[in-house]
Amino acid sequence: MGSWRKAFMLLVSLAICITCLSGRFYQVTETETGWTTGLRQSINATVDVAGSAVGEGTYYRYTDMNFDDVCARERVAASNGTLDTSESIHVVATPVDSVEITLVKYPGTQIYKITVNETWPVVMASRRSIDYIGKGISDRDFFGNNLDYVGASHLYVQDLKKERVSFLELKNAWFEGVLDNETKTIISDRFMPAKTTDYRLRSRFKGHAVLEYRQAALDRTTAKESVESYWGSFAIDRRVTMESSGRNVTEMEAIWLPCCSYGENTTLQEADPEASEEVATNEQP
Amino acid sequence: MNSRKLYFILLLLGYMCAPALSQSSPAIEFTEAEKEGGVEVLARITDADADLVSATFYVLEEETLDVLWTEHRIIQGGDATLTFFWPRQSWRATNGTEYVQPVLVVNTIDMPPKEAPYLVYSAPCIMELIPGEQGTTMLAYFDNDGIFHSLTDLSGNSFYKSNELLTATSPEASYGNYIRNNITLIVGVTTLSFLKLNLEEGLSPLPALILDRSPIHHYTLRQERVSAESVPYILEVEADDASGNRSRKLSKNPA
Repeated sequence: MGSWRKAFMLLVSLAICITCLSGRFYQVTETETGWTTGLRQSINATVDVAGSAVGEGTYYRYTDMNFDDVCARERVAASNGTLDTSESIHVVATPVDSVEITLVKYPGTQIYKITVNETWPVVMASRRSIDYIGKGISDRDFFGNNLDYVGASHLYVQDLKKERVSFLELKNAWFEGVLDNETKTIISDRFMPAKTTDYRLRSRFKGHAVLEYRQAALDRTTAKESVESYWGSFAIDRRVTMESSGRNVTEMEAIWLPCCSYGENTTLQEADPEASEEVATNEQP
Repeated sequence: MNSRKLYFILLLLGYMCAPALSQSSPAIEFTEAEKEGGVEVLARITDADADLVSATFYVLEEETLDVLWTEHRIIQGGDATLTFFWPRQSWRATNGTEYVQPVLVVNTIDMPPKEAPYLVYSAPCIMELIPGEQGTTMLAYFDNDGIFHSLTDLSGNSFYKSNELLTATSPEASYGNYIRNNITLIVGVTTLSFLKLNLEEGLSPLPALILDRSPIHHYTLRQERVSAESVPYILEVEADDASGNRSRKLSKNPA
């Protein structure tokens, strides 16, 4: 009975967090341990930007986009000079599928496993070229994709020719937390999005440039990262491609899951805790 | 077609003596004198037919017979006294990362006043819009600082104008629209091969330079003057008359 009550309390805490959120964003938090998915938000949208500019003078640019942690940021500030720039951006975000939340209790323990299966696909493809000669330009771009990122900064450059092509894709995301509700600890916290980050940079400059990227591991720690710094006159031609296939059902899970995942997926509102002590699923409207 | 282009066509046709259509060819006499910063040449050109058209001054590198410096003048009548000056320099072309030399560069004449500041020098070249395709003979124009401002074919069709030149000739025009609608040169692809002129071999193309920066930056194509201070040289003065006679005189015979 005690374990049932704890499971019920856990469900209640989850329910509070979920029901206060609307359709295109959510955050699942387990209040006892503090485990959380973080705020996830997206919109059903397409973005298309294309164009070019040629001229003489000063230039400033601010770009910020974020669709379910698939994000792009650009900052450009150019002092007096001649500039030729062109770009195209294409974004499609379709967070139409339900978010499925599953809670499983390990038999005989106070250990729970929460999984959140989110299928909110995002594709962000962009390219930009800039050709500047003048008193100075600082050009920074940053592309993040669910804990992975890549970007380049060209700072205080007087002569810059840069071509950048990027492609970011998020197919789905899988959160998985194993929590000990007795000791109020997080035993395991895994984040497994299926994502691709592809970044191609070709630049030629006189000044300072920094190129950096990071790829996250399943436990959110850093699997790989790199920072390159250049001072002087350089031609850079780099391509960074990072892919994660997302959730990969291990042999252990494959064996364990069938035994415990009995019952049909039901919405949280329909779930009857008494009918199913160990399994509850949620479909986000 | 102006006299400048006509001159280049004649030049490209062979840098050779034109057939004599009238009785007499122009006679040339000249002297040279060392001056501060260069060599001054005083030339007298006479023509019995009194139909002189132009005179051209060349400086040749003695060892290779490549043309280092050129100056072109329009003359008329049957007697002309001209002063040429060679600042002991030659020309090289660069696209910002590579350069070629010695490039045949000639001063322009008879340009419209609004355009003249941007078309001070011209250089014949061969354009390949896409490398490997058939080349087109062009004239590239540069200002007094060697900045690239115009590219036209021998029929006068414009392939590129700089922002400054377009503003001077069409103040209301948008350079962005001009680039989008009028320029066919492809940044990073199109090449220009400038020419060198040799007394014995005539014209020959130098290695191609890729236009790899924006038109707003003049493709970073420039003609630069490089010192030829210690280069042994031969001076040459050439004169043409309206009958197609051409005469030349060298300061000394090549070895």
